[in-house]
Amino acid sequence: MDQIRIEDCWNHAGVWGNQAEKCPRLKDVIHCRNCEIYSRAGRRLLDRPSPAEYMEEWTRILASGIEDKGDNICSAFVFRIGEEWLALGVDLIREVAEMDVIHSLPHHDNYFVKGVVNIRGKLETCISLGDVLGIKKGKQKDKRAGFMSPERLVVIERDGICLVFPVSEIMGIIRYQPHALEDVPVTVAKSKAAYTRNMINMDGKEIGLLDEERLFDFIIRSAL
Amino acid sequence: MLLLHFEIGEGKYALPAERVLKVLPYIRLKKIPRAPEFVAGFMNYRGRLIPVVDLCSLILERPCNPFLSTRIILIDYPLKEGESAPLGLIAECVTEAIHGNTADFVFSGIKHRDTPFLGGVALNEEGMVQFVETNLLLPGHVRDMLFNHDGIEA
Repeated sequence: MDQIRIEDCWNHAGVWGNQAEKCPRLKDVIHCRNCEIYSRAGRRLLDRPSPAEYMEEWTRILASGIEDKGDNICSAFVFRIGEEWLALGVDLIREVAEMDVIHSLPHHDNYFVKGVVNIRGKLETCISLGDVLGIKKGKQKDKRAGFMSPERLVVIERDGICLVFPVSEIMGIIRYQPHALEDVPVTVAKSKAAYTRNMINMDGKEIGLLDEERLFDFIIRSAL
Repeated sequence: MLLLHFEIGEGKYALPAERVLKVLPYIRLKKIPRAPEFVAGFMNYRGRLIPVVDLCSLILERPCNPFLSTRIILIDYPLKEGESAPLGLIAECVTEAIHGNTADFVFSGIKHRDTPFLGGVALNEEGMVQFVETNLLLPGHVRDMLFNHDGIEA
């Protein structure tokens, strides 16, 4: 087997070396792992014969079909408002931004329009989804020292209309099978039930999948 | 433009990443009897037979080294009338994607009848990288052999 000769400068003049004179490249790259020489040496490690089983194993893997994860898996963006876990279709989400100051609008007395926020230098309408759905926020903010607040601003967009709303926390994107959806229990509060399409049970958490069409229609009709 | 960088022997080459469907490990292929040397064979990719061409054979007339960095680049190979089919290309040192502009690749002044797919050359700090025009990769008769099944009973 051919031996690959690699000049391990990082062990001498680099960050792992104890040579007095350090490599001049470190000034620019700061750490050897950012250096082109280091990464090129890493890639050169692949220039050696592949082990005997490697080719056979991959031939077998690529010949087999892809594991069937089921048809039309859907994904949803999950977040929390107050005590409630809610979800929206991922195609609606434009971005998640750090919590920022919400500038209130004078003479705008709609109960759920909170004002405008600065999203990448553009002012966007900020609403309270909690107020639309009738969810009580629960004002107790977790302000332990050293902990960043998990509150975020979610920017959504549909048919060119952009809306921003604050959330208490973001869980992320989940994938679910359409048949795993459950009906909304009749006991759920009226206003919330009207905009909840289905429930998703994820690790014991009941997540309300919101009906984006009705939600948008309502918001646009009554506020914009 | 993002380019997939690879090597053929000592030479550095690149092809546009937008043509690449997938980069796969070098796997065992089924030889095609009496096909030209550079047609490495068929691979079974998820139950589908895809023809694979060895770029080292095509350019250097020796097969690619069976190294870990030797990989099969699955490209979308254009056929007539807007149709296309997947084609595998074996190349060495398929370990990197690079950024480059079409304008960086300048005509080398040399056009070889047997390698019409070798395009302009870009000069960078590591040396010279030659552009591979995937559309021109296969000579007409080989393309017909691999993809043109008109009038042939299966």
